[in-house]
Amino acid sequence: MSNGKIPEASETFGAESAEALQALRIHELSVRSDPDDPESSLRLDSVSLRLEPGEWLTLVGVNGSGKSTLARVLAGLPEAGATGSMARGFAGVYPAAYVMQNPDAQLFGETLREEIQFALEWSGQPAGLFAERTEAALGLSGMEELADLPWSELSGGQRQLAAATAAAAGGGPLLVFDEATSMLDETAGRALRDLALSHHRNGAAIVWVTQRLDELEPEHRVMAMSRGRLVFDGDGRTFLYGSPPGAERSPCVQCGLRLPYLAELALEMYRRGDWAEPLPMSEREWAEKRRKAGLERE
Amino acid sequence: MSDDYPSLLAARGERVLELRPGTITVLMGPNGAGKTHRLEQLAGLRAPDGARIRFGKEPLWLPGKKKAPRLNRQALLQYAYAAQSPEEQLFARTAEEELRAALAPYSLTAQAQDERIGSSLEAVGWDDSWRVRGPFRMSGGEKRRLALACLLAAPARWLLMDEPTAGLDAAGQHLVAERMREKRAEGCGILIVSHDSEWALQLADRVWLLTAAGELRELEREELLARPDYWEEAGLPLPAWLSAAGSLIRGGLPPELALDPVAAAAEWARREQAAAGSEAPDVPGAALSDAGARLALAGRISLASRAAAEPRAAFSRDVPCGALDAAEPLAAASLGEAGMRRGSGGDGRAVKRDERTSRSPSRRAGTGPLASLDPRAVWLSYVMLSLAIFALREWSGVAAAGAVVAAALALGRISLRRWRAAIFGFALFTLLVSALAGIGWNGTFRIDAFWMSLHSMARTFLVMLLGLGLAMAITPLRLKRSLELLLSVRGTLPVLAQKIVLTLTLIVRFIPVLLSEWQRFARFAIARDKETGRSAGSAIRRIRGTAMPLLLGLFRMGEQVAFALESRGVGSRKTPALARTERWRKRDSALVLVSAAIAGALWLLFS
Repeated sequence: MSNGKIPEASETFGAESAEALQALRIHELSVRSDPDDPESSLRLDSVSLRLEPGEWLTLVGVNGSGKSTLARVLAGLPEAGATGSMARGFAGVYPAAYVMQNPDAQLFGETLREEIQFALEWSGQPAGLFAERTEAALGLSGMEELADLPWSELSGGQRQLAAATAAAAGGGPLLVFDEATSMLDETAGRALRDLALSHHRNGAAIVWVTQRLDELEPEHRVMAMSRGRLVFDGDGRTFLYGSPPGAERSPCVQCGLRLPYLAELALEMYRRGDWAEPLPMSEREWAEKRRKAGLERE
Repeated sequence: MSDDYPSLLAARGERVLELRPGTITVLMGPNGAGKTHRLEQLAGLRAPDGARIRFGKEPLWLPGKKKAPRLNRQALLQYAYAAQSPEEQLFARTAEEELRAALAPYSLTAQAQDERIGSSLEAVGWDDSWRVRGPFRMSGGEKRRLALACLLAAPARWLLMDEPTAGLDAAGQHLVAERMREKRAEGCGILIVSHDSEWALQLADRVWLLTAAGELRELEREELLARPDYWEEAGLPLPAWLSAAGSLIRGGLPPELALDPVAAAAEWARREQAAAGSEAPDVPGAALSDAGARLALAGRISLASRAAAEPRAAFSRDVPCGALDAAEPLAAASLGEAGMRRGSGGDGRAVKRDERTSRSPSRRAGTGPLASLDPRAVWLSYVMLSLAIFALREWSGVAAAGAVVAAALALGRISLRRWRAAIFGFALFTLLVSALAGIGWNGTFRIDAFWMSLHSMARTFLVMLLGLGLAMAITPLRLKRSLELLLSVRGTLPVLAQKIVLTLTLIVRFIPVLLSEWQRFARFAIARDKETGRSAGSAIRRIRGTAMPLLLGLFRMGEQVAFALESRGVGSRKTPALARTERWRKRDSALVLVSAAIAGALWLLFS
């Protein structure tokens, strides 16, 4: 593309009428690291995918694998040097909420209430609804009490939750979290994830970019990236253990991520013949395994 | 050995924290407990807040003759420091130059320097061809490796690292762990801040556990593994992997075995069979000897066993693996040393948390009486008073205006302390410009010209004070909104006005961020260059090492800010909806009337 932008809703995808119900589709998308140099390396290499309305997609990969670039494209942010086509479908023509690692680069106001207000001003909603919307956003993240405190009174985790609250206040059909929990401890990370889950329950599609494998859900869709290419698209359990299970076949290991201790333990149990598929993954499943071995905490 | 490598001590009151050579200590704790702050204090990058820190014989701070204490360069030379995202600190044109900068503080011969550069490149799996590579053309992972090489290159006895695995792939995390094991075997003392418990506890000998309230508990690794309640007390949820491994440990499996997934699986299988009432022997020995035999083969229990399963990417190609065996188990001798203090987490004198000062100097969201007023009223008052001040002709008027400004700041309870440097600078500038204006063609000093110039500059100065006060009292976004409401025509704002107002708001908003970023990189420059001098030369060197990373950091942040704004629809939607959040009340009218009266009085009396 000479203008360096990804074309919107290309005609190759046909009917525009039921656009709101259509999947977001990306076809043969490539992005060069230097838009002006056709020889430069590819940050994204012929990526094609469909994202259905209301779907939860976890995107994993090591640094430099292209997952952030793909996340920005999915969020509808302009990407210089992109070729290929994209139909925004249910995500609409305006960019989706996009939450990054560093809260301080995404907060423009001085308090959360101000921040939400600022987000709503540009959300395309009538000003009359702002007050109501602000309260709803605060309620969803449970931050009512912190709404009027200056950022210096909030912890890093709370500031990050604030940034996500404001970004999602517009109530769009798609939210993109780009390694939003990477600077957070488990408690703060979980709070942010709960906020994303609330929006998901309300019908929003979520793209959750992460390197933290403890955030994978067995049944959620996982896509893994390596060197700009999509190398895996399947459920969380298969990503972690492979199919059939085996350390060598684990897509997780293949895309350069560290296999967690628990996954190694489970794989060893499988190798020994003690456990069969499905291998445990969620907290509940592990608790069950502990109970069976008489290891449950008293 | 203890003579050569005495401990790193941090004392506050009677509480003494000790880092021993040849050990790896991991500092853990919840977000906001101040882990990074503690690490920076140990490195002398932050004021010690009353703690006495000593690297062996060298105190970190020397008492100043008249002024504040100053850093002891000999102590700084004892450690190498890797901040969070150490790749952001790189500033040189080539990898070799970067490594030379890390070695420059140490008086090494050219040959010794060259050898260290070569061996540190080798330690991260690189050959000599990497010397001429430019850091700014490297990928993120390569930059991280160069930063690790810089850490390893310095002939330092202590390594201080902040979140070394964040953002690294499996091979990179493995590489860091291996190099740390080697350094430990060489006798280095290592302190690592990490929230990656699974990685860090494989490596650790000891743990400093920081609670959310800022209290610090010293533990042997094994104690932490076996005590879920310690995690809870620190405000950390027990990691899922440890609730599994921990239950095996409490069931009698030695912690070193529980940390190895293969040995843990053997024990788990045994427990499962026992629980199912099968005929498996219910003696821990059976599985243990099995696991034990495996361990004798595998050598030290560690991530090493996992490394085999991991893809050996380009990373481990040149990494010497034989060095692994050099890593000793916990040195029992040093554990038994007298004077060791441990497990005293409940100590009331524990170093108190100091979160407020550890934060970036972010401004307070508008407080004081003015915050409750409509920004438009405040803004109108500011404009009227400013115009009146600019119209003043007499010196008596300037004096009166000075009184008005002082009264306004006092009544609004606005402190301009934050801006004292800027205010002082402008005052100096005012005097200087006036003095220059007074110097005539023939070298004589014309006092009337001096006064005239000073008079006009003084008015600007007063308006500036008032403007700074306004910026302090009302947050940038409120100010922006009030400007938009003032400038909007029938509910919409002209595009040009919109752009100008948004740009100004963002500039004001990010000034504190800019300052804190400068301070951050300046701290790292101290850790790298070990510059403690106050001479002009050292100041210039410090600026050089700070400016480049800062500039790149600002580019990165600018990009993120742009993403954040675009994702909120700024730029793609033509007209933002303006919320009429502010309500004009009686007190707003009162403020405007009073200001108008004062402005009018100034104008009538003095112009």
